[in-house]
Amino acid sequence: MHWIDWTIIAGYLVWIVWTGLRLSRDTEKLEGYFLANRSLPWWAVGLSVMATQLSAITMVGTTGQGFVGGLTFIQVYFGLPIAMVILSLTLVPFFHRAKVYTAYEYLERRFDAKTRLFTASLFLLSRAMACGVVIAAPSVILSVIFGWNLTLTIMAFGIPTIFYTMKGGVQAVTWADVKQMGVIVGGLVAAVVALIMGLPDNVSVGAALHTAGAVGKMEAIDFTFDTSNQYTFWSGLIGGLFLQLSYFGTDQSQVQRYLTAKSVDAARHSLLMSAFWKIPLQVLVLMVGVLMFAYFLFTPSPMLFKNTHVSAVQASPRAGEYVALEQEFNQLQAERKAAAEAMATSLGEGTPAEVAAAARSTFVSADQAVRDVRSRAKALVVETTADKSYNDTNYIFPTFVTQHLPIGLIGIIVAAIFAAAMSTIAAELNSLATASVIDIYKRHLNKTADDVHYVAVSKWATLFWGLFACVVATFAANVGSLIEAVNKFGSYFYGSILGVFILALMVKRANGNSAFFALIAGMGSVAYVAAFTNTAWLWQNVVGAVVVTVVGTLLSFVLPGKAKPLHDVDA
Amino acid sequence: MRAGGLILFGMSQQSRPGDSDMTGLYAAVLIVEVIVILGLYWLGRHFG
Repeated sequence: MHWIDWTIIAGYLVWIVWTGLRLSRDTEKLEGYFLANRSLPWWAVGLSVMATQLSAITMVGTTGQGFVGGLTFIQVYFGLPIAMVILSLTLVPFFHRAKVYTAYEYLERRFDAKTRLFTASLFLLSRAMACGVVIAAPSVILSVIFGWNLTLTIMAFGIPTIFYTMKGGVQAVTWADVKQMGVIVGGLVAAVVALIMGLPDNVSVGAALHTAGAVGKMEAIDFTFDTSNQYTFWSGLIGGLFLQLSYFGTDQSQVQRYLTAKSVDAARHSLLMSAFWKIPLQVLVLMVGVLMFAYFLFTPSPMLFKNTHVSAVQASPRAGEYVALEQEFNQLQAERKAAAEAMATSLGEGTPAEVAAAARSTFVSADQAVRDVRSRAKALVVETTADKSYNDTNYIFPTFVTQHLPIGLIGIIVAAIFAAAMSTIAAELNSLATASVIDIYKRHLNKTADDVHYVAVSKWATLFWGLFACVVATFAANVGSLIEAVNKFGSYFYGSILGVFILALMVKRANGNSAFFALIAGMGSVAYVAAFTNTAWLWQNVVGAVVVTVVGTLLSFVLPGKAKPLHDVDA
Repeated sequence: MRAGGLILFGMSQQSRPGDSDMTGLYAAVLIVEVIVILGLYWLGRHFG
């Protein structure tokens, strides 16, 4: 990488850390450190909410999804705007008026200490592991693409983030998030402009999108009802609704964002910002992938984008097979380019319909032939390396950035990948520290210390979780399948925890015992569905929430326990 | 469990003194979502 790109990345890191520290005020008290004294403006909180959700995995993984599968992934977010409205009407005002620090603190007021401890512990375990994955995924990719040392890359993501999160608490996290959102959106827009500029002179943006659309890349909506497929309208709307209700309503990494807002109205506005902008932003991310597909129709691309495994195949006895496939790929890629150009030309006015249809049909066949060779090459890699998890989707965008963008722009986009990762890591570390101190240390271990002590412990907790996440990242990076395992692990109880909150708000007679055992039943049901059925993970959130609500309601008739009315917990 | 309990509960939370009436904004969210989904559907039909 050129020194100008290094300077941009270094400048970005210094600027973000300085921003976080400079804008943090009154952090000596616990409420200032964890909740910014409930004083932040709605737009800053709203940007922080969006930055937390958009990780580097989105930047490199979702752009790759756009390249491979087109816009269809967008359906996962269809439940989000509705979830935001429901949360604005229900949990947001409830949490704010209850003056809680964590979502789980509320559960003790409504149910009992064990339900709070259990849910907080589940959060700590899953979020700490997930934080490791958030660091590992971009670290692996950047280290492969640039040839960087993996441990140093993990430290480059982790250490600056741990530093400003530890020093400045939630205010540093939020104000850094605001700047980071600017860097992320700027990076994405720069990528779109570069891709459009990179199209051949005789191919317009419209023609490029038509060629991509001919092979299904522009089809975003699938109305089929199929619970084994998460990329459908109904999976996104219903399963996605439960997922987003769980994430934004019960996950401390998000709840803590809007607890910092200065009023209930401000908190609601901050969530509604995502309701308006999340889907368009995600379309922008996917559109980068679609445009990359169009770009590589006219510019030669590697057969596979992940080089490490390719090197292993080239050094194996089956190297000859790979070379033959590569020659076939290059030939077919040239044929596809000619077909794409012919199709783009045929889109002009005056082309007879049958000529245009024939050009389109030729292009579709040529693209299918290219995809077939890629599939065979992937199969060869899997057979040779015995790595069944091999997938090069996450390497497509970084390959484009490093091999096809000019000096300067590479630095800007790598800085955007850093911004996306750091904003998520910071929010997660801050929320992990909050749950550790408020739900466990202050509640069970040391109830009578002053705020100076608790803030000091909070900083140590941030450091601990940061280092823990870096260690997890190192393991996850070396054991690729661990990333998938951690992601699945979180989905086992996401919907179930939502079910506990539904019980808390809607079932008056529910008590601590019924909620606790219902939560276990919900998690067990999701584990069963995940292991023995072909249900897409979006629907697992629905299963968890419904089982907990139903079982919790039934158990409240048979299990002893004191049901606390809602007005007792609404401070 | 009360029928529509979540919505009724939400309405009761909405009506606190000092809070703005955000019904219009909620409606706008849903309308914008419908427009965005229709727009995406159109993209698929137009370019597909």
